[in-house]
Amino acid sequence: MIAALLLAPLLAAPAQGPGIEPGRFLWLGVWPNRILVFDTAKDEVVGSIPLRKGVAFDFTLTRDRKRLFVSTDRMEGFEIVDVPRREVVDDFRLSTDERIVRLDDIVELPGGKRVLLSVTPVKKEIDRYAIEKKEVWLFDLEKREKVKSWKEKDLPREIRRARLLLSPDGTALHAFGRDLVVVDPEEMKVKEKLIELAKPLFAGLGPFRPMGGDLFDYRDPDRYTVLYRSRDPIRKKNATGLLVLDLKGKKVADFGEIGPEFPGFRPAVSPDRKKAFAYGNEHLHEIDLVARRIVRQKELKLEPRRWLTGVSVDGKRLYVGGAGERWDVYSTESLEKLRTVEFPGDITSGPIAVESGPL
Amino acid sequence: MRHLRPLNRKAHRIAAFAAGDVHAQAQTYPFGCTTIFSPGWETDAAGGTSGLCAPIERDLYDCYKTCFWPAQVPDYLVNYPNWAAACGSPVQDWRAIDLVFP
Repeated sequence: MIAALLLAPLLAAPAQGPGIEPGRFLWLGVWPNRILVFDTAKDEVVGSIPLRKGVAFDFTLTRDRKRLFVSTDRMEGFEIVDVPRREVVDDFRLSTDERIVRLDDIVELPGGKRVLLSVTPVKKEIDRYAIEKKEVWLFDLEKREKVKSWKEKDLPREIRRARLLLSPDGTALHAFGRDLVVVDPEEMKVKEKLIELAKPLFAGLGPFRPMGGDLFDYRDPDRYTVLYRSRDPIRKKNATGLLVLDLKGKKVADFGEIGPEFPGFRPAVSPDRKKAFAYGNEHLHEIDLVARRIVRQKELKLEPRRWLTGVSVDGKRLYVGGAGERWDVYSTESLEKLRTVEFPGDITSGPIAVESGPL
Repeated sequence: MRHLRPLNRKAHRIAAFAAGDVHAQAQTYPFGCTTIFSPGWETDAAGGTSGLCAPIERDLYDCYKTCFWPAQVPDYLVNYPNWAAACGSPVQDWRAIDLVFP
Protein backbone atom coordinates (compact mmCIF):
# COMPACT_ATOMS: atom_id res chain seq x y z
CA MET A 1 0.00 0.00 0.00
CA ILE A 2 2.80 2.39 0.93
CA ALA A 3 4.60 1.49 -2.28
CA ALA A 4 1.45 2.17 -4.23
CA LEU A 5 1.10 5.61 -2.65
CA LEU A 6 4.72 6.40 -3.42
CA LEU A 7 4.29 5.40 -7.02
CA ALA A 8 1.02 7.23 -7.55
CA PRO A 9 2.52 10.69 -8.25
CA LEU A 10 4.90 9.18 -10.77
CA LEU A 11 1.97 7.77 -12.70
CA ALA A 12 -0.05 10.96 -12.72
CA ALA A 13 -1.74 11.85 -16.00
CA PRO A 14 0.33 13.96 -18.39
CA ALA A 15 -0.46 17.62 -18.75
CA GLN A 16 -3.03 18.12 -21.49
CA GLY A 17 -3.59 21.36 -23.26
CA PRO A 18 -6.32 22.47 -25.60
CA GLY A 19 -4.80 20.42 -28.43
CA ILE A 20 -5.31 16.80 -29.33
CA GLU A 21 -5.48 14.35 -26.45
CA PRO A 22 -2.36 12.16 -26.29
CA GLY A 23 -3.14 8.73 -27.60
CA ARG A 24 -6.23 9.69 -29.55
CA PHE A 25 -4.81 9.02 -33.01
CA LEU A 26 -3.00 5.81 -33.82
CA TRP A 27 -1.00 5.63 -37.04
CA LEU A 28 -0.51 2.28 -38.75
CA GLY A 29 1.13 1.24 -42.00
CA VAL A 30 -1.01 -0.75 -44.42
CA TRP A 31 -0.41 -2.51 -47.67
CA PRO A 32 0.72 -1.49 -50.24
CA ASN A 33 2.02 2.03 -49.61
CA ARG A 34 0.24 4.15 -47.04
CA ILE A 35 -0.17 5.12 -43.42
CA LEU A 36 -3.68 5.25 -42.00
CA VAL A 37 -4.70 7.61 -39.20
CA PHE A 38 -7.12 5.85 -36.85
CA ASP A 39 -9.24 7.96 -34.51
CA THR A 40 -9.77 6.02 -31.27
CA ALA A 41 -12.55 8.36 -30.22
CA LYS A 42 -14.67 7.27 -33.19
CA ASP A 43 -13.14 3.87 -34.02
CA GLU A 44 -12.69 4.82 -37.64
CA VAL A 45 -10.00 5.81 -40.13
CA VAL A 46 -9.91 9.58 -40.51
CA GLY A 47 -6.81 10.08 -42.63
CA SER A 48 -4.50 8.44 -45.13
CA ILE A 49 -0.89 9.40 -45.87
CA PRO A 50 0.58 8.05 -49.12
CA LEU A 51 4.19 6.94 -48.97
CA ARG A 52 6.65 7.40 -51.83
CA LYS A 53 8.51 4.09 -51.73
CA GLY A 54 6.09 1.32 -50.90
CA VAL A 55 5.40 -0.66 -47.76
CA ALA A 56 6.10 0.85 -44.32
CA PHE A 57 8.28 -1.55 -42.33
CA ASP A 58 8.92 0.41 -39.16
CA PHE A 59 8.28 3.74 -37.44
CA THR A 60 10.55 6.00 -35.37
CA LEU A 61 8.96 9.10 -33.87
CA THR A 62 11.14 12.06 -32.93
CA ARG A 63 10.98 13.27 -29.34
CA ASP A 64 9.36 16.57 -30.34
CA ARG A 65 6.70 14.43 -32.06
CA LYS A 66 6.94 16.52 -35.23
CA ARG A 67 8.68 14.05 -37.55
CA LEU A 68 8.14 10.38 -38.16
CA PHE A 69 10.87 8.29 -39.78
CA VAL A 70 9.34 5.47 -41.80
CA SER A 71 11.46 2.61 -43.09
CA THR A 72 10.33 1.90 -46.68
CA ASP A 73 11.81 1.20 -50.11
CA ARG A 74 12.08 -2.53 -49.41
CA MET A 75 14.08 -1.65 -46.28
CA GLU A 76 16.66 0.10 -48.44
CA GLY A 77 15.77 3.59 -47.28
CA PHE A 78 13.47 5.73 -45.22
CA GLU A 79 11.01 8.58 -45.56
CA ILE A 80 10.29 11.48 -43.24
CA VAL A 81 6.67 12.35 -42.52
CA ASP A 82 5.86 15.82 -41.24
CA VAL A 83 3.43 14.92 -38.46
CA PRO A 84 1.41 18.17 -38.23
CA ARG A 85 1.05 18.32 -42.04
CA ARG A 86 0.54 14.57 -42.36
CA GLU A 87 2.62 14.26 -45.51
CA VAL A 88 5.96 12.86 -46.62
CA VAL A 89 8.50 15.67 -46.93
CA ASP A 90 11.72 13.79 -47.72
CA ASP A 91 13.08 10.37 -48.60
CA PHE A 92 16.51 8.73 -48.53
CA ARG A 93 17.90 5.67 -50.29
CA LEU A 94 20.85 3.80 -48.78
CA SER A 95 21.59 1.16 -51.41
CA THR A 96 23.97 1.67 -54.31
CA ASP A 97 24.56 -0.22 -57.54
CA GLU A 98 27.14 -2.43 -55.83
CA ARG A 99 25.53 -2.98 -52.44
CA ILE A 100 22.06 -3.49 -51.09
CA VAL A 101 21.80 -1.84 -47.68
CA ARG A 102 18.94 -3.12 -45.53
CA LEU A 103 17.82 -0.74 -42.81
CA ASP A 104 17.14 -2.44 -39.47
CA ASP A 105 16.68 0.53 -37.13
CA ILE A 106 16.73 4.33 -36.98
CA VAL A 107 17.70 6.28 -33.86
CA GLU A 108 17.23 10.02 -33.61
CA LEU A 109 20.22 11.95 -32.24
CA PRO A 110 20.38 15.18 -30.22
CA GLY A 111 20.00 18.21 -32.45
CA GLY A 112 17.76 16.47 -34.96
CA LYS A 113 20.18 16.81 -37.90
CA ARG A 114 21.78 13.40 -37.66
CA VAL A 115 20.52 9.89 -37.06
CA LEU A 116 22.09 6.54 -36.29
CA LEU A 117 21.20 3.79 -38.72
CA SER A 118 21.60 0.12 -37.95
CA VAL A 119 22.06 -1.60 -41.31
CA THR A 120 22.86 -4.95 -42.91
CA PRO A 121 24.87 -4.52 -46.11
CA VAL A 122 24.58 -7.12 -48.85
CA LYS A 123 27.27 -7.13 -51.52
CA LYS A 124 26.15 -7.96 -55.04
CA GLU A 125 28.58 -10.58 -56.24
CA ILE A 126 28.52 -11.74 -59.84
CA ASP A 127 26.59 -14.91 -58.99
CA ARG A 128 25.14 -14.32 -55.53
CA TYR A 129 24.40 -11.91 -52.74
CA ALA A 130 26.96 -11.94 -49.89
CA ILE A 131 25.49 -10.81 -46.58
CA GLU A 132 28.03 -8.75 -44.66
CA LYS A 133 28.36 -8.01 -40.95
CA LYS A 134 25.93 -5.53 -39.48
CA GLU A 135 27.04 -1.90 -39.35
CA VAL A 136 26.02 1.25 -37.53
CA TRP A 137 26.03 4.44 -39.58
CA LEU A 138 26.16 8.02 -38.42
CA PHE A 139 24.01 9.64 -41.10
CA ASP A 140 23.70 13.37 -41.77
CA LEU A 141 20.21 14.29 -42.92
CA GLU A 142 21.27 17.68 -44.36
CA LYS A 143 24.29 16.41 -46.29
CA ARG A 144 22.28 13.29 -47.13
CA GLU A 145 25.28 11.03 -46.59
CA LYS A 146 26.98 8.66 -44.20
CA VAL A 147 29.45 10.55 -42.02
CA LYS A 148 30.94 7.60 -40.12
CA SER A 149 30.33 3.91 -39.76
CA TRP A 150 31.28 1.13 -37.40
CA LYS A 151 31.03 -2.64 -37.61
CA GLU A 152 28.50 -3.62 -34.99
CA LYS A 153 30.79 -6.35 -33.66
CA ASP A 154 33.48 -3.75 -32.90
CA LEU A 155 31.25 -1.64 -30.66
CA PRO A 156 31.56 -1.83 -26.86
CA ARG A 157 29.43 -4.52 -25.29
CA GLU A 158 27.29 -1.97 -23.44
CA ILE A 159 26.27 -0.51 -26.82
CA ARG A 160 26.33 -3.57 -29.05
CA ARG A 161 23.86 -5.53 -26.98
CA ALA A 162 21.70 -2.61 -25.98
CA ARG A 163 18.71 -0.79 -27.34
CA LEU A 164 19.77 2.69 -28.43
CA LEU A 165 17.37 5.57 -28.03
CA LEU A 166 17.29 9.31 -27.58
CA SER A 167 16.73 10.38 -23.99
CA PRO A 168 13.20 11.64 -23.20
CA ASP A 169 14.44 15.24 -22.95
CA GLY A 170 16.22 14.92 -26.30
CA THR A 171 19.69 15.84 -25.07
CA ALA A 172 21.59 12.53 -24.95
CA LEU A 173 21.85 9.13 -26.57
CA HIS A 174 21.01 6.32 -24.17
CA ALA A 175 21.75 2.62 -24.43
CA PHE A 176 19.37 0.35 -22.57
CA GLY A 177 21.14 -2.93 -21.94
CA ARG A 178 22.38 -4.58 -18.79
CA ASP A 179 22.72 -1.04 -17.46
CA LEU A 180 21.50 2.33 -18.68
CA VAL A 181 24.48 4.19 -20.15
CA VAL A 182 25.02 7.48 -21.99
CA VAL A 183 26.69 7.11 -25.38
CA ASP A 184 28.75 9.56 -27.42
CA PRO A 185 27.13 9.22 -30.86
CA GLU A 186 30.12 10.73 -32.68
CA GLU A 187 32.51 8.08 -31.39
CA MET A 188 30.09 5.35 -30.26
CA LYS A 189 31.77 5.11 -26.88
CA VAL A 190 30.26 4.98 -23.43
CA LYS A 191 30.39 8.41 -21.79
CA GLU A 192 28.77 7.56 -18.50
CA LYS A 193 27.04 4.70 -16.70
CA LEU A 194 23.83 6.46 -15.74
CA ILE A 195 21.93 3.84 -13.76
CA GLU A 196 23.14 0.38 -12.80
CA LEU A 197 20.53 -2.28 -13.46
CA ALA A 198 22.51 -5.52 -13.62
CA LYS A 199 23.62 -5.40 -10.01
CA PRO A 200 20.72 -6.32 -7.68
CA LEU A 201 19.66 -3.50 -5.41
CA PHE A 202 19.80 -5.79 -2.40
CA ALA A 203 20.29 -9.42 -1.48
CA GLY A 204 17.46 -11.68 -2.58
CA LEU A 205 16.55 -9.52 -5.56
CA GLY A 206 17.57 -10.35 -9.13
CA PRO A 207 18.94 -7.92 -11.72
CA PHE A 208 16.47 -5.80 -13.68
CA ARG A 209 16.15 -6.65 -17.36
CA PRO A 210 14.11 -3.87 -19.01
CA MET A 211 11.64 -4.97 -21.69
CA GLY A 212 10.35 -2.80 -24.51
CA GLY A 213 10.17 0.96 -24.58
CA ASP A 214 8.79 3.56 -22.23
CA LEU A 215 5.22 2.71 -21.28
CA PHE A 216 4.21 6.35 -21.49
CA ASP A 217 5.74 7.20 -24.88
CA TYR A 218 8.69 9.19 -23.47
CA ARG A 219 6.40 12.04 -22.44
CA ASP A 220 8.14 12.57 -19.11
CA PRO A 221 11.58 14.19 -19.70
CA ASP A 222 12.93 13.12 -16.31
CA ARG A 223 11.86 9.48 -16.10
CA TYR A 224 11.64 6.18 -17.87
CA THR A 225 8.79 3.89 -16.89
CA VAL A 226 9.43 0.45 -18.30
CA LEU A 227 8.48 -3.14 -17.70
CA TYR A 228 11.24 -5.34 -16.40
CA ARG A 229 11.91 -9.01 -16.12
CA SER A 230 13.84 -10.29 -13.14
CA ARG A 231 14.88 -13.74 -12.03
CA ASP A 232 14.42 -14.48 -8.39
CA PRO A 233 17.78 -15.91 -7.21
CA ILE A 234 16.11 -17.99 -4.49
CA ARG A 235 13.04 -19.40 -6.20
CA LYS A 236 14.70 -19.47 -9.65
CA LYS A 237 11.59 -18.05 -11.29
CA ASN A 238 11.12 -15.08 -13.59
CA ALA A 239 8.86 -12.23 -12.59
CA THR A 240 7.58 -9.17 -14.42
CA GLY A 241 7.33 -5.75 -12.85
CA LEU A 242 7.24 -2.02 -13.32
CA LEU A 243 10.44 0.00 -13.07
CA VAL A 244 10.70 3.79 -12.75
CA LEU A 245 14.12 5.32 -13.47
CA ASP A 246 14.93 8.82 -12.27
CA LEU A 247 17.20 10.32 -14.93
CA LYS A 248 17.99 13.49 -13.00
CA GLY A 249 18.80 11.66 -9.77
CA LYS A 250 20.50 8.83 -11.73
CA LYS A 251 18.85 6.11 -9.70
CA VAL A 252 16.04 3.57 -9.61
CA ALA A 253 13.16 5.67 -8.34
CA ASP A 254 10.76 2.82 -7.74
CA PHE A 255 9.96 -0.69 -8.77
CA GLY A 256 7.37 -3.31 -8.03
CA GLU A 257 6.58 -6.83 -9.11
CA ILE A 258 3.35 -7.34 -11.03
CA GLY A 259 3.40 -11.10 -11.19
CA PRO A 260 5.07 -14.10 -12.79
CA GLU A 261 6.40 -13.72 -16.30
CA PHE A 262 4.28 -15.22 -19.03
CA PRO A 263 4.96 -15.46 -22.75
CA GLY A 264 3.74 -12.77 -25.10
CA PHE A 265 3.56 -10.12 -22.40
CA ARG A 266 3.03 -7.04 -24.52
CA PRO A 267 0.84 -4.57 -22.66
CA ALA A 268 -1.31 -1.81 -24.08
CA VAL A 269 -1.44 1.15 -21.69
CA SER A 270 -4.47 3.36 -21.26
CA PRO A 271 -3.86 7.06 -22.05
CA ASP A 272 -4.48 8.04 -18.40
CA ARG A 273 -1.47 5.87 -17.42
CA LYS A 274 -3.40 4.03 -14.74
CA LYS A 275 -4.25 0.75 -16.43
CA ALA A 276 -2.56 -1.65 -18.77
CA PHE A 277 -3.93 -4.67 -20.55
CA ALA A 278 -1.91 -7.66 -21.62
CA TYR A 279 -2.63 -10.95 -23.31
CA GLY A 280 -0.85 -14.16 -22.44
CA ASN A 281 -1.51 -17.78 -21.60
CA GLU A 282 -4.88 -17.47 -23.35
CA HIS A 283 -6.05 -14.90 -20.83
CA LEU A 284 -6.64 -11.18 -21.03
CA HIS A 285 -5.15 -9.46 -18.00
CA GLU A 286 -6.05 -6.07 -16.63
CA ILE A 287 -3.18 -4.53 -14.67
CA ASP A 288 -3.57 -1.69 -12.21
CA LEU A 289 -0.38 0.30 -12.78
CA VAL A 290 -0.79 2.32 -9.59
CA ALA A 291 -1.27 -0.68 -7.30
CA ARG A 292 1.03 -2.73 -9.56
CA ARG A 293 -1.00 -5.87 -9.64
CA ILE A 294 -3.22 -7.86 -11.96
CA VAL A 295 -6.77 -6.99 -10.96
CA ARG A 296 -8.76 -8.98 -13.50
CA GLN A 297 -8.30 -11.93 -15.82
CA LYS A 298 -10.61 -13.36 -18.41
CA GLU A 299 -10.10 -16.43 -20.51
CA LEU A 300 -9.84 -15.42 -24.13
CA LYS A 301 -8.50 -17.32 -27.09
CA LEU A 302 -7.26 -14.99 -29.78
CA GLU A 303 -6.52 -16.23 -33.26
CA PRO A 304 -2.87 -17.12 -33.92
CA ARG A 305 -0.61 -14.13 -34.47
CA ARG A 306 -3.08 -11.66 -33.00
CA TRP A 307 -2.26 -9.46 -29.99
CA LEU A 308 -3.29 -6.30 -28.20
CA THR A 309 -2.30 -3.23 -30.20
CA GLY A 310 -3.82 -0.31 -28.33
CA VAL A 311 -6.38 1.28 -26.06
CA SER A 312 -8.91 3.95 -27.04
CA VAL A 313 -8.36 7.48 -25.80
CA ASP A 314 -11.22 7.15 -23.29
CA GLY A 315 -9.81 3.87 -22.00
CA LYS A 316 -13.03 2.00 -22.74
CA ARG A 317 -12.01 -0.11 -25.72
CA LEU A 318 -9.13 -2.40 -26.57
CA TYR A 319 -7.84 -3.08 -30.06
CA VAL A 320 -6.63 -6.52 -31.06
CA GLY A 321 -4.56 -6.55 -34.25
CA GLY A 322 -1.69 -8.42 -35.83
CA ALA A 323 -1.47 -10.26 -39.11
CA GLY A 324 -4.30 -9.40 -41.47
CA GLU A 325 -6.42 -6.42 -42.38
CA ARG A 326 -8.61 -5.86 -39.34
CA TRP A 327 -8.74 -4.91 -35.69
CA ASP A 328 -11.15 -6.49 -33.27
CA VAL A 329 -12.54 -4.06 -30.71
CA TYR A 330 -13.08 -5.28 -27.13
CA SER A 331 -14.71 -3.55 -24.18
CA THR A 332 -12.36 -2.89 -21.26
CA GLU A 333 -15.34 -3.17 -18.91
CA SER A 334 -16.75 -6.52 -19.96
CA LEU A 335 -13.72 -7.75 -21.95
CA GLU A 336 -16.24 -8.84 -24.58
CA LYS A 337 -15.77 -8.31 -28.31
CA LEU A 338 -17.77 -5.33 -29.57
CA ARG A 339 -17.05 -5.07 -33.28
CA THR A 340 -14.50 -5.44 -36.06
CA VAL A 341 -12.80 -2.61 -37.94
CA GLU A 342 -11.58 -3.47 -41.43
CA PHE A 343 -8.79 -1.60 -43.17
CA PRO A 344 -8.26 -1.30 -46.93
CA GLY A 345 -4.99 -3.23 -46.75
CA ASP A 346 -3.09 -5.68 -44.56
CA ILE A 347 -1.34 -4.08 -41.61
CA THR A 348 2.42 -3.83 -42.08
CA SER A 349 3.61 -1.73 -39.14
CA GLY A 350 2.54 0.14 -36.03
CA PRO A 351 0.34 1.31 -34.53
CA ILE A 352 2.04 4.29 -32.95
CA ALA A 353 0.46 7.16 -31.05
CA VAL A 354 1.97 10.03 -32.96
CA GLU A 355 0.12 13.25 -32.36
CA SER A 356 -0.26 14.77 -28.94
CA GLY A 357 -1.25 17.93 -27.16
CA PRO A 358 1.35 20.15 -25.52
CA LEU A 359 3.67 18.05 -23.41
CA MET B 1 24.86 -35.00 -47.46
CA ARG B 2 26.96 -38.15 -47.04
CA HIS B 3 26.36 -39.16 -50.64
CA LEU B 4 26.87 -35.72 -52.15
CA ARG B 5 30.16 -34.04 -52.90
CA PRO B 6 30.37 -30.25 -53.29
CA LEU B 7 31.93 -29.16 -56.55
CA ASN B 8 31.54 -25.43 -56.86
CA ARG B 9 31.95 -22.57 -54.38
CA LYS B 10 28.28 -22.28 -53.50
CA ALA B 11 28.07 -26.02 -52.86
CA HIS B 12 31.07 -25.80 -50.55
CA ARG B 13 29.33 -23.10 -48.58
CA ILE B 14 26.19 -25.22 -48.30
CA ALA B 15 28.30 -28.15 -47.13
CA ALA B 16 29.98 -25.96 -44.53
CA PHE B 17 26.57 -24.72 -43.44
CA ALA B 18 25.27 -28.28 -43.11
CA ALA B 19 28.36 -29.21 -41.08
CA GLY B 20 27.59 -26.40 -38.67
CA ASP B 21 30.80 -24.49 -39.40
CA VAL B 22 28.96 -21.25 -40.04
CA HIS B 23 26.29 -21.57 -37.41
CA ALA B 24 26.42 -17.95 -36.28
CA GLN B 25 26.20 -16.68 -39.83
CA ALA B 26 23.30 -18.97 -40.58
CA GLN B 27 21.37 -17.34 -37.77
CA THR B 28 21.72 -13.97 -39.47
CA TYR B 29 18.46 -13.03 -41.08
CA PRO B 30 18.86 -14.08 -44.69
CA PHE B 31 17.96 -10.91 -46.53
CA GLY B 32 17.76 -11.91 -50.11
CA CYS B 33 15.64 -14.99 -49.60
CA THR B 34 17.76 -18.07 -49.98
CA THR B 35 18.09 -20.31 -46.96
CA ILE B 36 14.82 -20.81 -45.09
CA PHE B 37 13.20 -24.18 -45.64
CA SER B 38 10.40 -24.04 -43.11
CA PRO B 39 7.71 -26.57 -43.95
CA GLY B 40 5.18 -23.94 -44.89
CA TRP B 41 1.59 -23.56 -43.93
CA GLU B 42 1.13 -27.21 -43.08
CA THR B 43 2.58 -27.04 -39.56
CA ASP B 44 3.65 -24.36 -37.12
CA ALA B 45 6.95 -24.12 -35.27
CA ALA B 46 5.75 -26.67 -32.71
CA GLY B 47 4.74 -29.17 -35.35
CA GLY B 48 1.03 -28.56 -34.85
CA THR B 49 -1.50 -26.33 -36.54
CA SER B 50 -2.78 -24.14 -33.71
CA GLY B 51 -0.12 -21.52 -34.36
CA LEU B 52 -1.02 -21.04 -38.00
CA CYS B 53 -2.94 -18.10 -39.33
CA ALA B 54 -6.47 -18.86 -40.43
CA PRO B 55 -7.22 -18.31 -43.19
CA ILE B 56 -3.72 -18.65 -44.62
CA GLU B 57 -4.25 -15.53 -46.72
CA ARG B 58 -3.97 -13.50 -43.52
CA ASP B 59 -0.33 -14.52 -43.27
CA LEU B 60 0.53 -14.15 -46.93
CA TYR B 61 1.91 -10.61 -46.92
CA ASP B 62 3.99 -11.04 -43.79
CA CYS B 63 5.74 -13.95 -45.49
CA TYR B 64 6.02 -12.03 -48.75
CA LYS B 65 7.32 -8.87 -47.10
CA THR B 66 9.93 -10.54 -44.92
CA CYS B 67 10.79 -13.40 -47.28
CA PHE B 68 9.98 -15.97 -44.65
CA TRP B 69 8.82 -18.76 -46.94
CA PRO B 70 10.60 -18.09 -50.22
CA ALA B 71 9.82 -21.56 -51.51
CA GLN B 72 6.09 -20.87 -51.27
CA VAL B 73 5.77 -17.13 -51.74
CA PRO B 74 7.49 -14.70 -54.11
CA ASP B 75 9.80 -12.29 -52.28
CA TYR B 76 9.10 -8.60 -52.00
CA LEU B 77 12.61 -7.56 -50.99
CA VAL B 78 14.51 -8.62 -54.09
CA ASN B 79 12.73 -10.22 -57.01
CA TYR B 80 8.99 -9.51 -57.10
CA PRO B 81 8.19 -6.09 -55.60
CA ASN B 82 5.02 -5.71 -57.67
CA TRP B 83 3.51 -9.13 -57.09
CA ALA B 84 0.85 -7.83 -54.72
CA ALA B 85 0.64 -4.20 -55.85
CA ALA B 86 -2.96 -4.59 -57.02
CA CYS B 87 -4.27 -6.29 -53.90
CA GLY B 88 -4.42 -4.56 -50.53
CA SER B 89 -5.75 -7.50 -48.60
CA PRO B 90 -5.51 -11.14 -49.75
CA VAL B 91 -8.30 -12.20 -47.39
CA GLN B 92 -10.68 -9.90 -49.26
CA ASP B 93 -9.36 -10.10 -52.80
CA TRP B 94 -6.68 -12.71 -53.36
CA ARG B 95 -7.66 -13.10 -57.02
CA ALA B 96 -6.13 -9.69 -57.72
CA ILE B 97 -2.66 -10.93 -56.81
CA ASP B 98 -0.44 -11.21 -59.85
CA LEU B 99 1.14 -14.38 -61.19
CA VAL B 100 4.88 -14.90 -61.24
CA PHE B 101 6.89 -17.25 -63.41
CA PRO B 102 10.24 -17.89 -61.74
